[in-house]
Amino acid sequence: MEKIIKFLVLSLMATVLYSCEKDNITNAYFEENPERMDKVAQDLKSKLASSPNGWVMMVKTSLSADVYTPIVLKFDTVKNKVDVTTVYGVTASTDSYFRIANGTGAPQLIFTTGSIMSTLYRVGVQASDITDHIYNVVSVSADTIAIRGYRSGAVYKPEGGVIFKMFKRPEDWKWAEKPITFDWTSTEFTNNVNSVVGEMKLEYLNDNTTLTTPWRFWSWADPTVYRIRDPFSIGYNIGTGGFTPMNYFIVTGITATGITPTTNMTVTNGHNAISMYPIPYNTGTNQSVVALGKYLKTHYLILKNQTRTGNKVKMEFEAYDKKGKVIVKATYDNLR
Amino acid sequence: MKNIIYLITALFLVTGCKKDNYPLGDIDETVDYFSKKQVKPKSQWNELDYLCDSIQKAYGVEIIYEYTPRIIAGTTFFMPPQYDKALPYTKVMLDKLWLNLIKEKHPKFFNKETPIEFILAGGFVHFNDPTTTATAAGAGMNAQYYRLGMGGVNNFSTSKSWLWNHIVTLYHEHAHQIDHKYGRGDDFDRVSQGRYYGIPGYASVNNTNARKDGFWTGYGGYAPEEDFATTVEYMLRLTKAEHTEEIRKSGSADLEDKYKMIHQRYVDMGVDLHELQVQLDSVVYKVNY
Repeated sequence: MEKIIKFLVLSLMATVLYSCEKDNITNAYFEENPERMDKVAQDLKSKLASSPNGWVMMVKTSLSADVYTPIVLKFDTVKNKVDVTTVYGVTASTDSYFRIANGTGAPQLIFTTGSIMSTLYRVGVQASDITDHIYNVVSVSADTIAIRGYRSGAVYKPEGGVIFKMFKRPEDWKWAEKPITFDWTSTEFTNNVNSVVGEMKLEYLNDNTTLTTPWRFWSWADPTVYRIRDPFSIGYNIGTGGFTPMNYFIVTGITATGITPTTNMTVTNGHNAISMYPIPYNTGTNQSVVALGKYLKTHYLILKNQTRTGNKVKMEFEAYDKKGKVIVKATYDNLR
Repeated sequence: MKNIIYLITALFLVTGCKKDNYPLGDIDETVDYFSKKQVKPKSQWNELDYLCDSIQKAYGVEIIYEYTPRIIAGTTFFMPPQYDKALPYTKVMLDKLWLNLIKEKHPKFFNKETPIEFILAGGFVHFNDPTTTATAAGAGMNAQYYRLGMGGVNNFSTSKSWLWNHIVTLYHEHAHQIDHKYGRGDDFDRVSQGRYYGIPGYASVNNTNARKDGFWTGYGGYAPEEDFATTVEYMLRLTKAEHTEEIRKSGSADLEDKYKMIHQRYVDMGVDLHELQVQLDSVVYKVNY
């Protein structure tokens, strides 16, 4: 009997000893080295502030193969405000906020309130490959900040989206600033442009080809009855924000396979840009604007420069590649 | 000998594994494992931060409008509210229409049943995919009794109809919270047992037919939890006279039974919903914001 008790007691002790073995997973490294995380976060903050013109993210859309959409982010690190500008619409003058947080493993750059960033996250692949408004900071150097979407899409998609290597906004990207010079609400702008049959000449720098097409801008006569709507429509856009309600106008007269010259292509007034994005209007209109983008091989044209002498108007446009280099140049001439 | 063995055993048992019950070690409350909770320094406060601070001091509710992974988990796809909408929403909807009124007029209900966190969602509530376009106001966000939240904040408007719809929907969502907290009760569930429409049946039932079947709306007939919440909502949506008339027209004893149960439940918690209806009507329609 006593032997049995001894045996039981010994096995109990063995069990207790065995179960006390430590294989605990801890956060000790992070807890014991807070300065390392703080340093990266601090570094990020000072780098964000180091580019007074802001930083650029180039995002891919399902509308173009080689042309990427530029997103300019200007950070005010004192008030934690961020100003976001892109080509799909004109940036609203309301406040948007961001925050740098010490996540686990990597600091995070978070766009904490509604902005163009959350709009793009909301809209999906047609506008961008942005899949979150929360980013893990991958690396920070003097001229590049690499960030990666915390999530990559819907619930069962793996963690971690596309890595965006942000670069400092080139000095000559004045289009990302205000005022809006490509402005369909201003008669000064529409004069000698509206309803005029002109010409658009495009140059593709990647394969040295060109394309020339008749081009007629057209819009409603009275700017006060301008067609104003949200670039991504209210029903689809709820929960986002960042854009002013914008105007849309018509491009017509294009002669190309699959596009008849009488087709009215509804394009929108981007931030100093023509945005060939299918605003949810109706299926036919959407198809024709997508067809226009495919034909021109770009879904936007940013106004770089315009000259007006007498009734002659010339406008220079451009579009960018993955790295923010000019890949498409376009020249509009009103042929007057 | 035996005693010594017992003593050693006892010692082992007492001191053995004292600290190793949690595989991750003791939970350190100060560590936020998703994104460390960093308090926004006062130097960075904007008008809304000051307002949220004073609301928390006055009513004990923390209003949250900035999203971090700590607030919105990685498996949910809520859109953060726009600042320019969140500010007037907090001023008008949360302070004036909701908290101030309920604290002043129904202190017992306010003290016991007010959540300690309120989350503003810019868009509607989406699980599974950020690009979906459904329009649920609360949808599961409110199945936690310390935290309430509302979707659709970016649609904020001072139009009377928007304010009215939103505040009665807020009480609908809050009713879900009450349901989770205390349960609807077996008696309630038995009234229409076996006669709920389910999905997609509820979507094709109009209000008149739903009321004949004992539910306030087709959606209320979807399942018992929505039945409960719409019963609360319609005491606020309709005046008492309209409410009585709707029950009479429906000819449904079930509709009346469930109404009486829930009305009494809320009276016991400190608020007569018919009185609250009159008070809400006056702060929404008699004051301009």
